Formats: sequence, structure tokens, C-alpha cells
Amino acid sequence: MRLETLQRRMMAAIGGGPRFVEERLYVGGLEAALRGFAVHANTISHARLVALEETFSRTRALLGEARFNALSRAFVETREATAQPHSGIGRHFAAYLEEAGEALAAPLARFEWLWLEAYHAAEAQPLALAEFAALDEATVLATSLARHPATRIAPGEAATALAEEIPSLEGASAILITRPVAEVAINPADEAMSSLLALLEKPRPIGNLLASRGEQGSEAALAALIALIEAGAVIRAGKENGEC
Amino acid sequence: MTTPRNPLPPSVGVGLKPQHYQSALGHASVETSSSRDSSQPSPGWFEVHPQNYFCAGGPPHRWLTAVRDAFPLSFHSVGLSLGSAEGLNEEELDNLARLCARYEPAAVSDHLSWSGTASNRFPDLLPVPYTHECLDHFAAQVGRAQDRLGRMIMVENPSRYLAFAHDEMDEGAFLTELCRRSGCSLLFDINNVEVSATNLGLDPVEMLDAIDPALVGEVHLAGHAREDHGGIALLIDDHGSPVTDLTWQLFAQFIERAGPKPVLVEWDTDVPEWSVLMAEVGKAQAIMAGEGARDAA
Repeated sequence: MRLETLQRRMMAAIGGGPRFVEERLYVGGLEAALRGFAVHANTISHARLVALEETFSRTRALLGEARFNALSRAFVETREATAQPHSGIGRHFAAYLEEAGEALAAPLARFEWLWLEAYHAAEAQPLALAEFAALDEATVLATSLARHPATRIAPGEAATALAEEIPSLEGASAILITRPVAEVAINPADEAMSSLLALLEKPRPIGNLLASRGEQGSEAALAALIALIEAGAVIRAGKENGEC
Repeated sequence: MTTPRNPLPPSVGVGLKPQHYQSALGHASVETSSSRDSSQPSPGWFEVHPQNYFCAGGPPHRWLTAVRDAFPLSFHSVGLSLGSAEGLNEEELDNLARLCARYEPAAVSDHLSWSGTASNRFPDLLPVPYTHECLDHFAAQVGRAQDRLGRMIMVENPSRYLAFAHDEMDEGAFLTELCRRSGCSLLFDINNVEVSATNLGLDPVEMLDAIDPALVGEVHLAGHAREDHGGIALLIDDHGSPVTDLTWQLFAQFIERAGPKPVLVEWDTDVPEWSVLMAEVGKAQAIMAGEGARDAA
């Protein structure tokens, strides 16, 4: 039997269960083959479910073990899960929860995934306000900024579930996730900060950022930018470290 | 093809786990100080699954950099899927190549296995049939990996729960011919010998003796779980317990024939206290030094 055919049939047996196990292909009879396939199917299922449990511990606590397990078991059979490398298996879990109508759990899962992205993001030196101390206004306004590679904005809907653990998030319209140095930090964010970060997906001069909110909004934009800089969410453009 | 600047030493290493980062680096500082207690076992090198470091940065890379600066490092990949009929996983290979360029590990290995397809990726190491067609294919995939990485890799013998009716050779012959054709070497997992021999009704000593020590670049030792299925033992390669007596005996027999080799104690699930792991390291060191061979046998 060709290798490709054999592997196709093995995958059918792993995914479809005992009725797809072809006794003639294996040594030792049907019982031995069923034992072997049970080990592989359990290993695969266990690894996928544990990866979700470890990534989405808060979502699991919110949903309860039974509901989380039911949703996880269904999700790991979808192409959105099976086509991912193992470390990325949870990438689309929040969207799946949203489709399943989990209005509270979906944004929390989104937060947990973004937290993980921040934890594993590239290193970069965050911009410090002190760097502007010796600069004249024109130079400051011409300085080009970008989002720190670890910075993420999570939906404010997750703040409710997190407020007991992180009281500062109470009532936040969005959640700012940063990793300015070693550890991931969580801070509340407002609409102005979220808008600026969206603009900073591409490097932009500070003058351009402040003007983006119009004349009346420039003060709010300045306050938001200062808050972002203090949280370590911003870098000078061109200071990314894209290693690995 | 390049040779690593610092090849793995013929000593006992351990798999690096996040809960042991501090302990591992503690050994690094002790190694260079006068307070080192030579009677206490300590690891000679560390091994990691590179897939756990396929990210741009963050704390895991800071720890790994510190460990790499103090110890030889081995990358034990679980994701190349070298035996997949559709070809190895190119994305995994690219990530592995980038990580190798960053850390310059002493050794790189993966498994004699396959892990599904691009659209259905199985986090498992599935067995391949020991046929000439599969040997041709596997040797070609190892060649692709070695060309991309610019170095020789090691291929690990599998833990098997299934044997194929149309096999054309045994595992030892397959691995030997794979090395000859592709220029790879073997990562010889002696726990896997016990697991496969028990599950498939084979003779573990025959399996051991079928391996030419000259082909072996690294040895793995680990524990496994045992299930009883109506009087039939099924061993599960879960790396979650101490090395068994039989694996220690087989290891002693192999080392008596092979001489000292880089040896790894693997413990991936239910990871124990550092001291428990070091006790296993001590046993392996004693056998390598010839002190424990008689006891183990």
C-alpha cells in the first residue's frame, strides 16, 4: 500500500473511530489495532484540549468546566483549530465562542489570546517621556512613533470579568496590554488611546497623531499619547527588534 | 554542512522546563564557583522543544539565552513531520532554521514519525511503515531538512502502539539504512525500546543490539505509564515518571557496548521537583561511569 493511502486511512481511523480501523493493515489483530489507535486519538485530543485549558484559564473559570469542555471539544475538531500549529490552536477560539453566543466569554477569550501574543512578542525599547526633555517642539512633533510590538488593545467587554482581579479595569472601555520590559502589564484604556494605537499600526509623526483628532481633540490626543507612552505601549519608529 | 562549534558532551543532560529555569541557572553559577559540591549530580547540558520558542521574544527567550550562555543546548523538535507523505512541514522547518541561527544549538533532532497534514495537524508522533517506499521518502525529507538547516540532524526511534502488516524490514534495519542514505545520526530512546517491545511483543534486547552505537549521537531515558487491558500490558510513552528498571538495564547494556554518550533524562508531564530529576541524572551518571552498570543489569 502506498504511503499516502496508508496515512489517509490512518487519519480516518483517528478521526472516525473504530469502524474506520482496517484490521488487515496492522499486525496483531483488530483488538491490538484498536488499542493502538485509541492511544493516538487520546494523545491528540488531550494535547489539544490541554493547550486550550492552559491558554484560556480565565475563560474556563467564567464558563464553568462542563460548558468550557463541551465548547473546547467541538472547537478542536474545526479546521480553524486543526490547521494551526499546536501553539496557535487557540487563535480562533474567541471567534468560535462569539458564534456560539457566549457574549461574556468571547471577549475574555480574546483578551487571554492577546495577553499571550504580548507575552511572546518581539523585544523593543519602549519610548520614555524623558527622551523629549531636551528637544524643541518642532523636533518633538516630527518624531515618528509606532506601536510597541507587544502592545495590544482588548475589548472593554472583557473588563467586567477581569475587574475583580484587576480593579483598575472597572468601567474601562478597552484594555491596554503592554510588555514594556519583562512582564506583561494590564491597564485601562479609553477611546482616544485605542484610536491612537490604531493609527500607530504604521509609523506616524507625533504632529500627525495630534492633528488626527482635529483641533478640539488635540488635547485629548496628547493626554492619550502621554498615557500610552507611560504604559510602555509606544516606540520610536525603526526601533523594533524583529528577532526570530 | 556545518559542524556545531560546541557539540553535546558525553554527559547527562535534562529537558529544560519553565519551572526549573532558576534551578538550571543556579547550577550554572555553582559550576563556576568554588562552592560546587562534586558529589551532587548536576546536568551537563539541556534540551528543549524548539516549538516552545517559535515566538519573537519575551521571557522564554530571556531564560533560554541565559541557559544557552552557560550550557550546551540541544533542540529536540516535535513538529517537522518528516514522515508525512505530503512532505515535511515547511513552516516548521523555516521556524526551526531561524531558531537555530539565533541559538546555534549543539544538536538538532526530530522523530521517525509523521503528524498529519497541513490542514489537519496532529500533536502526536504517528508511526511510519518500514517499507522501501517509506525509507526513500523519509531519507529525502531528512535531506531537505539538513540542507535547509545546514547541519546534520538526529532522528529518534519511535514509541510504537501499532505495527504494519506490510512492513518490509525491522526498525533497526530501517534506521541503519536511513542513516546511511541521508547522513543523519540516531537519537536512541531506550524507553521507546521498552514501550515498543512491550506493546508489539518484540524482544527489547534484540532491538537494542540492532542499533550500531557508532550511529548514535544522543540517548534518551524516560518513564512511561502502564495500562492493563484484560491482562495485556499497554505502555504509554508519557514521560511522566521515573525511568523503569528495565530501561535502566537496557541503558547499562547499551553503554557497556557504546561507551559514554550524551544522555538525556526526559520528564515532560507531572514534572517533579528539581532534586528528583537530579537523582535520575545521578543514576545515569553512575551507569556511564561504570559504577551502576552491575546494579542496573
